[in-house]
Amino acid sequence: MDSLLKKASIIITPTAHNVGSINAIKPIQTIGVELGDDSTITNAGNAVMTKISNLNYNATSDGTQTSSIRPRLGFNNTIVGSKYKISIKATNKSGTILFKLFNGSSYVISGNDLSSDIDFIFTAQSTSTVNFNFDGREVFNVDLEISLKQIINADLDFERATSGSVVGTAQREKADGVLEQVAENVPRIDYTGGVAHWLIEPQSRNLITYSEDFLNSNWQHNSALNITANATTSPNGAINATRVEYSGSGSRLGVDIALTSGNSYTLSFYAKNNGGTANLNVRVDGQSLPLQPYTITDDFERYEFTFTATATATSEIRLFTSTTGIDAFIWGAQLEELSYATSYIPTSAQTVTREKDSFGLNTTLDTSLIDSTEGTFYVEMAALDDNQINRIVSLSEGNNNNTIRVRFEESVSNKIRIDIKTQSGQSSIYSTTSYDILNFSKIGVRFKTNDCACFVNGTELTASSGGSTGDTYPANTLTKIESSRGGGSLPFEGKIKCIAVFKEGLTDAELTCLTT
Amino acid sequence: MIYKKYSFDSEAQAIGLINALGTFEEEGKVYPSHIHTVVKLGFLTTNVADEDNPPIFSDKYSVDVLWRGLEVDEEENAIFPEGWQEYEVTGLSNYKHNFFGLTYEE
Repeated sequence: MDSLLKKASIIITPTAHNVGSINAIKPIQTIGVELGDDSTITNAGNAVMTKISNLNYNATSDGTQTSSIRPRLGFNNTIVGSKYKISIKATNKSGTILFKLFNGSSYVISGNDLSSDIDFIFTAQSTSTVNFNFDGREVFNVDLEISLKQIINADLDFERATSGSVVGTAQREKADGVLEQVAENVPRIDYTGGVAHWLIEPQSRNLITYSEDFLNSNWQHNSALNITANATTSPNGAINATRVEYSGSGSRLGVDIALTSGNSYTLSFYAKNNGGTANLNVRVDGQSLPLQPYTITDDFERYEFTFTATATATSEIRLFTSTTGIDAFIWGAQLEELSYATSYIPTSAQTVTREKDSFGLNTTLDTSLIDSTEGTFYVEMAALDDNQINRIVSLSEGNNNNTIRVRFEESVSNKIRIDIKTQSGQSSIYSTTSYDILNFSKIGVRFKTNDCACFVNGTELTASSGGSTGDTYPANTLTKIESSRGGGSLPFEGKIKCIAVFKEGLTDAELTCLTT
Repeated sequence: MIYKKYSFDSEAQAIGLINALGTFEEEGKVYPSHIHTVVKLGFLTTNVADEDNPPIFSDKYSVDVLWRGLEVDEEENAIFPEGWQEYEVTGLSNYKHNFFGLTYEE
């Protein structure tokens, strides 16, 4: 599989990132606009270059010139430190041609006779003009078609307007298991389970205020319960976990929250036994819900309880109730209006919202990275919950026309669905419910005229509509990678270990290997 | 990005303005198509409730919004979508909701 991934033109894994970007480990490089027609010619004597049309020139000399660098064509719009690709095709050649390319500091091509086309990448240096020139002391004539384009490094733009929490660390070299807070627009690499992945979560709000301050009057408890703040190290590495202790019976700790009938909520909090009773119960007062038992251990663990409110009412959410002989540490209480717990959102006097994570390519892919008429799109991803809503990663035109969507689909449990949708109307749909979407699945999609295929975890899927034949994508239409269906809607929520794009349609054997 | 707080006369009024920000339909379901972050806070409590004092809810429906990519006028003031500005809340001495890592400032 590793050798297969080396064939990819784009690979994105949970490694390189920065504020506002997820970087490809094979740098995504796209080609900028044409700069070759913005140039200045410098001639000397009969060593003359003439512009014929935008990118077409003639260079000639009768050999009477004494300069070895005339005639010269300097480019007006290069930037020091930027990378450029120069292409030169020479025709109607005669005489002795000695071509040189100057990068602003030194000659990076020298004495070339232009016997074959030049496609050369260089970095502009210093502040002198990037130029090419000929040895005017020689007798020659040549027609030139030139092109100069900047090579632009591109990344996935990453957005989350708020801070976020993650297990592990935002620093790529560490995986310490500590829950850390990362700033806005910093992608989160989650080490839960020991293997890193990008954590892409939906917007969520912690409805519990004073989520770490159990001494606050917001929290209600039996008067005998001893509550000691800052008693031990919490999951975020600070000494800010709270000890709750009472040897007698009837201990409880809860907070009032307004709930809406029919809505799903998930309560989560961290707890660790300190020698007291291990068997506790969560209770949601005022709702027709059974006690939800849990067992705490000698290590901090996060306990999660999902329920559907049966009444629209203010209910006391009790982290433990009717407990005898409690002695435990607690930290980080959270109630979300979701069917699963997302990463911890600390609160004080206000409820707090974390914005959704999203990413999208900050430029347009070109044919050097993907030939839209043929290629392979690969994603290794897992869901955060089998909550049966659409969550999509796409390779698209940036809209809903030409797009390859890899999704966890709504309405059906554990459904992975792949759409190969073209503007001309062809839409092939592949799907499977054979896998637990909470585990990572490897999904490979080959798109090629009359030869499309989709593999999930080593097994080829049969199309439920469309199929391997039919339309393919027009050239230069699959130009965007996004955590949505294309255009920003139906955002992805989940975990991603890898996204890769191949210029070629991998064979069935290669796709089997890649996705196994 | 601009953080604003709003207080509407009814939930329906708030939902109407939120939907007017943009939606699209796919396979029979309606999804937002705008890029703003909207938090429906609902009818907030106006007292500190406890076992003896039940919560009293405001008759106003609260919404917080992180606005993104708004166009600006000639004086570089953001142009908010139509209908929102008259419901903006200002002069808050305290408030009930925040965004993670952000500080609300009027």
